[in-house]
Amino acid sequence: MVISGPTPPVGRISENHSRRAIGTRCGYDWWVGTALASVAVVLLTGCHSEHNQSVLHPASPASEHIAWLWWVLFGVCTAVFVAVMILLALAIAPRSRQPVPRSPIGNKFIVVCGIVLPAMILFGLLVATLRAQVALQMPRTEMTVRVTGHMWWWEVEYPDHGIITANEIHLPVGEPVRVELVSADVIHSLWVPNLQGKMDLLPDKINVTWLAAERSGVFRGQCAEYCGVQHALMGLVVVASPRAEFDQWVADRQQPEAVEETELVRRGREVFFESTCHNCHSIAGSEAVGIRGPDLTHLASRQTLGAGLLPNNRGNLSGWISNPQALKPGNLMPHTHIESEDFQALIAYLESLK
Amino acid sequence: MPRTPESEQQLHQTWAPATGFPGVLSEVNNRILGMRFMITAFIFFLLGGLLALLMRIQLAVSHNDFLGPQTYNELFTMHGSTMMFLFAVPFLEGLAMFLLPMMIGARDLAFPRLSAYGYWVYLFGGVLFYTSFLFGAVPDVGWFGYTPLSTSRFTGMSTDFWLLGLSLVEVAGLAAAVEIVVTILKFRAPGMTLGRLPLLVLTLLVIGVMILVAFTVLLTATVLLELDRTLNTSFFDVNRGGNNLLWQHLFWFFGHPEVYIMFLPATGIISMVIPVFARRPVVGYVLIAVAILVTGFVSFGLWVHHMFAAGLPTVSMTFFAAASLMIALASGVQVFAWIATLWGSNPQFKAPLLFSLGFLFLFVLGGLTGVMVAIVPFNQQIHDTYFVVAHFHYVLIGGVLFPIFAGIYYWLPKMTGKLLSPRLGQLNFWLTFIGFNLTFFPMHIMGFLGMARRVYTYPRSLELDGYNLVATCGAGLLGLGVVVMLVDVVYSLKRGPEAGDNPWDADTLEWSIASPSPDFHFREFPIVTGRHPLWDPAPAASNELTALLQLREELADEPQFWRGTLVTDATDTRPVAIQFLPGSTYIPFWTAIGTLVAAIGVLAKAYIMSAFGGAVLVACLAIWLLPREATLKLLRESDLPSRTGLPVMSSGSSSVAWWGMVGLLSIVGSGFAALFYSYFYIRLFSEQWPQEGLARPELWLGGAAYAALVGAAFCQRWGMSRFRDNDQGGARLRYAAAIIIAAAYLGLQIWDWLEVDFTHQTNAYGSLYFVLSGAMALMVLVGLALTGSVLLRLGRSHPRDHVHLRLHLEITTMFWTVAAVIAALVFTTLYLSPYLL
Repeated sequence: MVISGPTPPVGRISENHSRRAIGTRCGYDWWVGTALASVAVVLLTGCHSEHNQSVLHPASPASEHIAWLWWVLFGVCTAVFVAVMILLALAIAPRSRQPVPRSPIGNKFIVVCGIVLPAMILFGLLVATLRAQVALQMPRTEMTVRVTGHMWWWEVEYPDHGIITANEIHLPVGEPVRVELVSADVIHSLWVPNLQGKMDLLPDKINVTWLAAERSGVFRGQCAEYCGVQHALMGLVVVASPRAEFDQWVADRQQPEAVEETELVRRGREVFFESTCHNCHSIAGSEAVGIRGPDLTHLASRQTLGAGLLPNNRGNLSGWISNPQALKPGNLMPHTHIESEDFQALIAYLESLK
Repeated sequence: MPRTPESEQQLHQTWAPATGFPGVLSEVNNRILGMRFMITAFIFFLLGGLLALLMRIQLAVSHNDFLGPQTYNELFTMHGSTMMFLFAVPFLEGLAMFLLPMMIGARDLAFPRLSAYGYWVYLFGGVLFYTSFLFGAVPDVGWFGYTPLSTSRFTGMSTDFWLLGLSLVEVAGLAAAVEIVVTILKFRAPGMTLGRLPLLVLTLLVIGVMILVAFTVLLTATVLLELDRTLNTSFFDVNRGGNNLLWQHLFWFFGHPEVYIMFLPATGIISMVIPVFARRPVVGYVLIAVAILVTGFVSFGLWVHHMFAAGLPTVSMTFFAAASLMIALASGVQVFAWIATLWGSNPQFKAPLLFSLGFLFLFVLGGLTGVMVAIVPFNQQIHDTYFVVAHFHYVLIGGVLFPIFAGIYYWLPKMTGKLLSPRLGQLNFWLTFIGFNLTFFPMHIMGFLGMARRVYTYPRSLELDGYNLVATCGAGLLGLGVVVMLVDVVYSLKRGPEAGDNPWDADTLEWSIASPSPDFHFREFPIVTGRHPLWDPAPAASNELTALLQLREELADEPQFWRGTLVTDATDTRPVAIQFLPGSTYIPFWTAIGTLVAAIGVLAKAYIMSAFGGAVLVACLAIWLLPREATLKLLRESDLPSRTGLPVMSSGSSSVAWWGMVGLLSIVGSGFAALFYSYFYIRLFSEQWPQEGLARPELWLGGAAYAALVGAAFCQRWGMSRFRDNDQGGARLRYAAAIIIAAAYLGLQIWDWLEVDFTHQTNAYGSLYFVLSGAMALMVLVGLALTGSVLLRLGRSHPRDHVHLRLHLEITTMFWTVAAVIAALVFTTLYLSPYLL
């Protein structure tokens, strides 16, 4: 007490205190209920999407283990949260008798609830972590894929097979694949949630992860480390297919471009080399060896354009080439001004690159 | 002296705030500066919130074109930087500056001019950030500025705006931290031992120390990056031996403690509010105190959990995951202590308590998602997704902002003398609570469904539109809640009911003085006998108590004609001195201007301007630090020592200046520690050392230089002992010799710099070499200024200023002793380690 201070008011109920039971504390409860109900409705309506970029719809042993881990965490943490909130509610619940000047609860409660019990739970979680880390170790792999991150596209190389492609990874179902990650410029991060946790692409170190799909499908991935103006639209697709299909895909990629020599296509190839395209893009089997942009070999058989931005079809291809800045502002592909007829030829040529 | 109306009026006059313009630029009083800090921080909070609303509008639907990618990226960078650097810590520091002296029974903070300097530098730094909008160079590298994106290869002047604005704000934070720590250690009222500290004061003490370490590391990192960008060093340039992840390590070594620097004072506020509204003392004081200390300490061992996707070794990641889980225990202890305090207490559901309860709900939820994200494999899925955005907003808004709002409702009456409206307080709470949950709860789900962070739009195919729309609507509600609070504050200033001294029947010292609090706070210092000064029963009479009462009688309304407060011993709080405190002065303002001009010079790459700013800075510091004859005369002639037995000029640990030097040296030491870390980190990941086969350093040259440096330090210690034996002439000789020997060190070091066959631009080894030895040389230059000032006074000062002169020598010698220790470490690192390791 401060000498010559006012008399201590411990235990005294202040005049301003008004006693109202919990639940009738204010008329806002109705609003709270409605708000929560609306939220529930919105959440439930999100349930019919394809979930091809989802952590909770695993398609690989790795992401399955992580999803299992999540549900364990969810269960434990929800139980803890509910328990703590019940304790809090009990603590502040109005009492009919006079409140005592000192709390009836002492340090033992704090030590048990705050240290002993949580320590046991946390220890259990640590064990679960270690088990998961062991389960997620890279298994024996027979194939390597090298992914190089660029601003804002993915260069994908199969060194064992001599294939280069972009913004797309193909995997045989059921076989783990070693993935080496490096960046050509800033830090990126490869994240294909249906298949695996993310791993950064660094400019000065090769990181290694692995991908294994348990079923066929097309899974979407995205860059998950802020890498500049078009970080948001740096996506890719991972196509998992049965072994035979995968082998066929590899074999097709290993063929040089099989171009049907129509007049239009021939003119289109000329346009490709007359304008600036070949400065940045390469096409295997031709004189185009540009490395600043994605490799365009077998472009026509790719799933997407613009790094997972648009489905690959004639309309989108035309739109992309004529004005890439409108679709992905800030990306490094400039406008190309090509005459209308030549433009049609160019499109025909590119569409022939199956 | 006996208290009379005249003596009270004189006290008011001595402590009167500066008024008018440019008078307000010279204000140094903690009350006003604390409120300025809080108001400025709150304005930045509103700006940051506005940016967030714009971001949420863009994200409300997929493929939206309300904002383009460049603008969106700028906005999220500014939103994060504003909230983390310009709002949270500055607001809490402002609250500390306002409250601390009142809570511990003192009249002001330990370094009033430093408070003023800190405010101006903070204001200038924040304004510099936002000036970037005028130049179309708004920072867009995120609030965390990862390299290589933030190097000059990929970004332009916008990143320099970010780095320099940030540096200024960091300096302000460090200044406030020194203030807080020294004030708490030295200005506590007699009887307020460390075991009786109000819990908010304990948290402030802990975060003060944390800031000295963490902010310095960030300052070092920002300086290194700025050097890379301006002088072309290569700390982070991977093509010239630099290391990319080094930035992340340095940043997160700051970044993780930063969130606990915000969180701990928030828990301190809760520990003040809950007992008052439960009308009983807090339960488990010792457990809470230990939890606070453990949290502060362990928080420095968690930083790698921000880097779990970077490809680090599994073993080290597991260690950091375990530590991250462990810290939950410390937070848990506090939560259960509060629940225990509330148990069966029939609490009063006023606004401060409502926000405290909201805090408990939201923080426990956020803390539990924190436990989840500490699990490495799970982290690797949700890192850099909206799940993490949800987590940290729960712990930062729920865990820091809600306590801040509770604190505003609780302490605003002490600032303004008026109570806020209970009904508007309830409305504010529910709008904020519901709006917050609507905004951020769906984000957990959005993260699972594939929404990454820092994206200006998202594909429609991910079906995130519904969640995002809900989140945007929630953000609107949240904003509305804040508006309600502003309306409430403005309205109460005009029409609110009078608060009175203690409207909450609270227990701590600030409630024993009037509302609004007078500028000097206490006419006579309080005597404390327990943890709850206004609730504890009267103590038994004793000799000690009688002596204290007598002293208090003597010191009532004293000093009359200059600002002073009682200094007590740090451990047993017995009175040891009376500390002179400066009144209004423009020097801190001009020092801040010098700092700003130096920073703008770097930004504009006009280095002449920087040099000019630096010169202004140095000149102002000289005027600031050199004692004025008028002040010394005043203190010499004071009759307080004879009346009270307490000196008005003190030295050693009784003087705040001594502690201020300890604070400064802690900062310098942390900075060098960050540099040593960078050196060995880059070395660890280099194939050969020195890199690219450069020659190893000249041992004899470095040895001679550093031996000279250590010799200069020893010479001064020798001089100090001559001074203690009253031989001022001998002391002068040795201090002068020290200057010559230190000059020899400088000469030898410059020779070494000229001799080596690489520059700071050659590779990372070269950069480290020059920057480490350069930092040492800079420290020596500062030391030489101190020694020079000593020489100016030795043998020429008034005999009765002996104590003050001794203080001057003590802090100079302390500086050089630490410089000698650092020199030994620099020599070992730079010159010896290439041969040894």
